[in-house]
Amino acid sequence: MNISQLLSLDSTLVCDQISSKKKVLEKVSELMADHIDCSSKSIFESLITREKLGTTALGNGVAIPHGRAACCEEVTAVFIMLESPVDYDAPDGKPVDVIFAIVVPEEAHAEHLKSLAQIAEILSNERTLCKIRNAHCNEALYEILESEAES
Amino acid sequence: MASLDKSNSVASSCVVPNEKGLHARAAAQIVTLSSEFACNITISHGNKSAQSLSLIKLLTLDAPKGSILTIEASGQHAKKAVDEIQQLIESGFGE
Repeated sequence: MNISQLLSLDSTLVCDQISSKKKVLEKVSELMADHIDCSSKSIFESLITREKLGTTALGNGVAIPHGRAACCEEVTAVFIMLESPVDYDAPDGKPVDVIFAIVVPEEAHAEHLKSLAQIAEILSNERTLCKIRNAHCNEALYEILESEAES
Repeated sequence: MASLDKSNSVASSCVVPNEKGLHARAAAQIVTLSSEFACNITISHGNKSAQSLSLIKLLTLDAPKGSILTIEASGQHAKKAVDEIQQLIESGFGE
């Protein structure tokens, strides 16, 4: 599955009022709960459980919070760009402003890796990251991701 | 699996044995182990390769269970680095 098929305009957000890692995960959970038959609480629990095993920040301001949920029937993703970066316990110590979150069904190992590989490919490109950081509205952010996913 | 030892470059291949494959925490273990070595280490899967110190690049390898990874290192303690990373992968990252 292509990343552009996982994201929709209403799951792609530029946010200016999120001040902590916990609030990022709460926002991700709320957005995902609108798309799948899971409560935001169970999604949040899944994401925070994974964070407790080790940060999902990859460095360079990027994080990929992810989790597995029994109530999740298909791979579900949310993309958030923060106008003010937050501390995310990143390995390089840099605060995070680019967040791709994904929740997958319990046994969807291959789909999970494929989605992570695609987003890692996009977010490891400095030019693309720069474009993402310059997107000041949801529509612009979505267009960038859609075009990068298809290129 | 077979390993190739050139003058200052060592390579070896192994299979990812764990159910979850090379997921983010597994890749983070490779980064941590690699950081103990001064040599240059690359890990490849098919036509994709990644520096072993780059977590985001390791995730681009898309290596589920059963994938064959090639570890290549050059420089100081290259053989030890390849051996230890291979052991880590073959242990299924402790899962």
